[in-house]
Amino acid sequence: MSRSNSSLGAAVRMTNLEKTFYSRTGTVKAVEDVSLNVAAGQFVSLLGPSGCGKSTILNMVAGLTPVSGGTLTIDDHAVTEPLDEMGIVFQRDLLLEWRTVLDNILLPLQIKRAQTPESLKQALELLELVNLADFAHCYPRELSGGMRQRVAICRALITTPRLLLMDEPFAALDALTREQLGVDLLRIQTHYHPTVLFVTHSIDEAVLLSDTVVVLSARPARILATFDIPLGKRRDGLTRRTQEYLNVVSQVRAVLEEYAQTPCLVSSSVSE
Amino acid sequence: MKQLVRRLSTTLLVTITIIAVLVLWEVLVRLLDIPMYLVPPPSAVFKETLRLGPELLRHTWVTFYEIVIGFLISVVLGVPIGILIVYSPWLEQVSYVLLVISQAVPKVALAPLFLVWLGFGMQTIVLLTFLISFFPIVVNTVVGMRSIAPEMLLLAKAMKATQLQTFAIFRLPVALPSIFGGLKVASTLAVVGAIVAEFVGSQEGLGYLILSANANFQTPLAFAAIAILSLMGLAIFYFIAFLENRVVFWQRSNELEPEAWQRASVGVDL
Repeated sequence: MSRSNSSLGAAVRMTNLEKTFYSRTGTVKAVEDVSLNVAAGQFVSLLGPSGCGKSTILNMVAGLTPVSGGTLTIDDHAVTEPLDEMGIVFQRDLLLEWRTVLDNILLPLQIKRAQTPESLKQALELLELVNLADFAHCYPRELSGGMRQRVAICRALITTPRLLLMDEPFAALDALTREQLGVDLLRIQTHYHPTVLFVTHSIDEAVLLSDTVVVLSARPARILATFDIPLGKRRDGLTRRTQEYLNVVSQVRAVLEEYAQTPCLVSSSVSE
Repeated sequence: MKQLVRRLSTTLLVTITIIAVLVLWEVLVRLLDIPMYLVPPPSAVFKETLRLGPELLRHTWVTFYEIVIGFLISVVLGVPIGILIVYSPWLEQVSYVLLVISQAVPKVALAPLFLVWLGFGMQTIVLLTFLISFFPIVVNTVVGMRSIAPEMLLLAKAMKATQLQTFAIFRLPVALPSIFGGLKVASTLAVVGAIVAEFVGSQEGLGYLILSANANFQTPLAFAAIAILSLMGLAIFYFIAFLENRVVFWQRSNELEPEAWQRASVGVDL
């Protein structure tokens, strides 16, 4: 599974990105004036309160939701549909209960009719990477929540994506499992070098995993601050105890707390 | 293994209960000297069944045939219509309203009309059986197809699945447990439909037999027919439950789970 160290990731560029939802009860501005450059191979977290519109940004990058305003490009191409070399992981693992672990992982290739004899080997290697090699022929219901989410991550990686989108992938898991999966994810990124866009509401998770943490406001989502995380590329569970780590975490927390104390302007975002 | 033991002991318990009830019935009827034409003892019913064996078998076959054909037609039409309703907003608006209205009409009340239109015979009975078992299949198919998580559809879209792939790989398997729920309800209704239709207009079948036995004070015969009918209904129900366990293997359900009965009560309207 050796790969050249040159980055295979996709570069994502957002300029004055906007998203407005129209419904019977009025219009809701979900994303406002977000400009962000994600360089190829970078791990970027979108951090913000629940329901702030960070998932909306992710869905736009995924090509699942059209953009309302501004521009959004991946490798200088405007996003109009899901990128072929893209993997996505949601909060729920969304495994198909009637398929074995192996068949779940191979699903994206089967849909694209791109399954080769090599694919099977590749799937097994991925399972090895997340310590699930013995479970290839099990059904999802036989696995725990954390194991299921690892399978979902393998499914997202089977196409060797250049862009990995993760929408609160660990939010439904308990604290210990969460930490373990974070470390797994770091290991995965050193094997593959996809650009990762990671949505979370956990400060610790964002700081531990990311090269850059983007702090967003509540609806409409606006960028409050951007932090480059000076922790180097080699991180593990122990990184959490270093002084640098604790410093960054408290800086990020300060930004969020300051924001929480400013008068709420939510009502202005909903107009009839 | 443990499960097997539990299953066996449940079966044993049910068997013992049934035998106990039959014995109690026999004893009470004899002790209280209840006349045969009111309530015959189980032994008399059994004797009658043996005496009229071939005749009973013929009527059983007729009713069984009507039920199966009517039920199969409602499956073949009901499932695709349920799927189309989910995919077409227009069909949803129009046909759902039409379906509900058609459900509001008591179909049993229509039986005499069908008799006038289609004549005496199997076609009328099959039609009524179909009409009664059709609705729960459509409704459960629609409910099942809609039960897919929105994120699941996003995932399919992100993988660039075609409409057909989204249907075959994601939506249909998700809908299967609910569809089977509908089939189980419909199967019990199909039995009711066929019998009622036979009451109204038939010269053969168990429904006809029950009616004519009653008229001639052959109460043991009526009981025998009812017993066979019950067994037939059970057999059909459990056959579908068996198929369900095979097809929807990832969601093994006990056929007698409370949920199944809740579903059953939704579909029952005569």
